[in-house]
Amino acid sequence: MKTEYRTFQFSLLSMAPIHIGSGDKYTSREFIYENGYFYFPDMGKFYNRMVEKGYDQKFERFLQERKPRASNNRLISFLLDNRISDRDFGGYRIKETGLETEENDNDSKLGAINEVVKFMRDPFGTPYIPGSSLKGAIRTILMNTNPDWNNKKVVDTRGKRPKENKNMISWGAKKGKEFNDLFNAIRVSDSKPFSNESLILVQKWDCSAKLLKVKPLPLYREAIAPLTKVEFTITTTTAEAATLIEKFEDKALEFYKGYKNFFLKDFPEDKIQDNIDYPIYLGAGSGAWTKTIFKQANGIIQDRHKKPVQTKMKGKGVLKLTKAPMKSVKTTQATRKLIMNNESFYEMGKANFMIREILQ
Amino acid sequence: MAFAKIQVTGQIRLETGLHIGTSNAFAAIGATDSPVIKDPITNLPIIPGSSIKGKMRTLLAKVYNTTLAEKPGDDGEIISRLFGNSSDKNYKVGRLIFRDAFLTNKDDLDSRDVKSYTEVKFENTIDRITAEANPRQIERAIRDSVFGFELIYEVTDKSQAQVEEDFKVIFDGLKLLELDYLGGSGSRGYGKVVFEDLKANTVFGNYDVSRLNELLTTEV
Repeated sequence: MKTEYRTFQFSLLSMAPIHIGSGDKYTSREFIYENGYFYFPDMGKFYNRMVEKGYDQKFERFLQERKPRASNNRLISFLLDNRISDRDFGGYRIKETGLETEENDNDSKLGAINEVVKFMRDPFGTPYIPGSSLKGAIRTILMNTNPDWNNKKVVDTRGKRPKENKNMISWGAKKGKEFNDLFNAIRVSDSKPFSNESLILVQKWDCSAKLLKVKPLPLYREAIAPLTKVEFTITTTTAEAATLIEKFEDKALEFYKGYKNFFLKDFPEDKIQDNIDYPIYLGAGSGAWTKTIFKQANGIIQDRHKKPVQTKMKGKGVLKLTKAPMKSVKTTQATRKLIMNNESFYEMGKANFMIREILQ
Repeated sequence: MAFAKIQVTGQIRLETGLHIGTSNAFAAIGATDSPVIKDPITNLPIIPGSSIKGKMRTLLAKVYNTTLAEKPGDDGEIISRLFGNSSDKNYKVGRLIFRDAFLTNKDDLDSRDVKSYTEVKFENTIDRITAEANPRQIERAIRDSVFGFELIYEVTDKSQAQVEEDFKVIFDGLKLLELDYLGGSGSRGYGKVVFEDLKANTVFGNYDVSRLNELLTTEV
């Protein structure tokens, strides 16, 4: 039996916190901060237990009330007020990093965070990275580094505002024409699920290019801790697709070089992380220029943010950072730190990868 | 006269979430916009036999057709005699019968605390010029679901000498399905399936299946 199918192993190593959202979030009334852990109980189980104990009406009242001090509106204060010592409500725990402080909040003790954006999970509650997320990131790099795709033709100027010309790369079935869908021939699997222990909570920090000031924003995300390994398989079904994946490591370097010259060079060097393998940006908070064909999008993205004065984008926008515990990695030469600064700043969404063909 | 029916049974295990779509004319605003096909009585996800048959046929056509077939009617003899060919008078009805596959491990899934047998996956498209996101919600039958797989092969006077050859094709088809995907959106990770515990069994007439079972354990 002969087929053109070829399988590649895509090994991802997170260099910084990576967040892939599930489209949902925890409110401040859905987690318990205690003893150095954030505990996210199964709220269905939690409520059932409250009903059993006869606390259901009190709990409903707690959900509706808003006390002036933010810290009194958290689930932990409800448990303490009612002397409920149970903590076996299912769910999972995430260890605090100690970097989760809320400086804007007058209630600046640890754990006083508000909402947490959820990480993608399978139905058994284990986090994983969907193949669709990785595939989008791969596609962005391929489109940025191919002159046939990275040109004026990619901008669709019809309509009110310019947008991407989605028909530049042929896709889908067309009547009377041979099926030609390059990105159908690149098949990216979902990652293997990994444990909740690989997750930490990280805050969004913005670094402006002009003032070089770094400021925290009240946005928390569940993210993969730096130096977590995640495995994917990529299957290609045509020779053309296989060539793209074979060359992808070099393409990723080329993209990174371009991105660095275009955007990263405006920022202090100690906030930028060196690579170990081949660079890629994944998931939320990595910034618009890692998601777009930046050469063509430059100008158009800024235009989009013109109207509401508060969110107006200055220049090419801010560098998006986050704080996580410092970590070191052993390379062939020496042991070195993942980050160059002493303030625990990482580039949100940064990862490294290697591709190896699996021969069957 | 030789007439026998050989039943191939096994399990389809989902390695990643599976989406075999159906239409939903009455979707609420903000609800799942592409639901999966379900059994109307139990409301559990199913894998229709037509999906397995169709996917297997196109995959096998890449391997066993000597010339590129423009339509299913142009398929070569090997494919036609197994799957049927309406434009070939010898093989109007193929030798294979595919059955719908139903979820069989509901209890096991229940014991693992799942809330529902389908999940809703939020995805979005990012415009590569404006960076605008365009979200969508897709329903999937959840990972680790197991479906009962059943296939009937008909042995007649005409096919008797070709049984082993046909089964090689069938096993290749199952193997190709494992390397490919079942259902929609497979290029972004959906629908990776594994066939487990495959067994051939003569359910009518006389046919010695020991040789076929040997093939099954070595090939798949």
